[in-house]
Amino acid sequence: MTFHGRDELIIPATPVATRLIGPWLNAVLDLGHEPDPASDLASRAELALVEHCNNVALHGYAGDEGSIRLVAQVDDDGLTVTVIDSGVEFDPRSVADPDEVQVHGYGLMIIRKLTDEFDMSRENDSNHWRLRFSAPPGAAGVDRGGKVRKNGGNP
Amino acid sequence: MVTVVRLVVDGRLDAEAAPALRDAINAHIERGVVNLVVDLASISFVDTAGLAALVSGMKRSRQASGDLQLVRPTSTAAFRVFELTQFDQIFRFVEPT
Repeated sequence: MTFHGRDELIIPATPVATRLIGPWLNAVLDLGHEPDPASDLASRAELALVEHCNNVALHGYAGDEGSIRLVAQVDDDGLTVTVIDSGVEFDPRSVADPDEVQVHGYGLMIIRKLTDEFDMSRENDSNHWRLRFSAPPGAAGVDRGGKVRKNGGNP
Repeated sequence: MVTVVRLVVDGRLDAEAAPALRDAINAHIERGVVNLVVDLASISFVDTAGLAALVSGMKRSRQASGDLQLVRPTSTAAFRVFELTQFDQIFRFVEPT
């Protein structure tokens, strides 16, 4: 498990490694070491990215060793995270949301609900997933300097 | 007399922690304790792997004429997975004291 600068994180495709995603997002969004309750951008992104990385580990790498690279880009309106893995190609559109109570199978549904955009491209035998999260209006935003503006106030 | 076992979970209930909770729930049900309360009041994060352990336990306990109730997480972020999957309408929640 290694931090690679502020805006990039490379982790092994294991459940325990996904615990690095939250602190990394807090650093990317300048939230300090603790999540800021005024902004749910980081917590929404953390849940979606943890779900996605678990899917990559379980299905993309099928439990085999592999790594996942996350690259964050903060802009005026929110956060985009590109997640790159070398697992098997997978089309999320082939999986429908559960329509009855079941134990498993909610990960993709949650990712779809938490992201404003979620798409994948295949480049150089790698999957490039793009997850877009808009900052919630009023509660928080991201100023032009790439820092979170808390409580909807002026930066 | 109905025996109710309370399991307290704190920190993160994710893919790393879920197997231990699932095993603990199953162990109680296999011993005939089918009414359980899982206290999530102090939990900071729940993902669908953690949710799966709870759903599995709820189904098993209800099949045995019991129930698995949850103490509601105080963290909005930790409760989010229940809302997004609508399991907030399926589990019976107890408010934290």
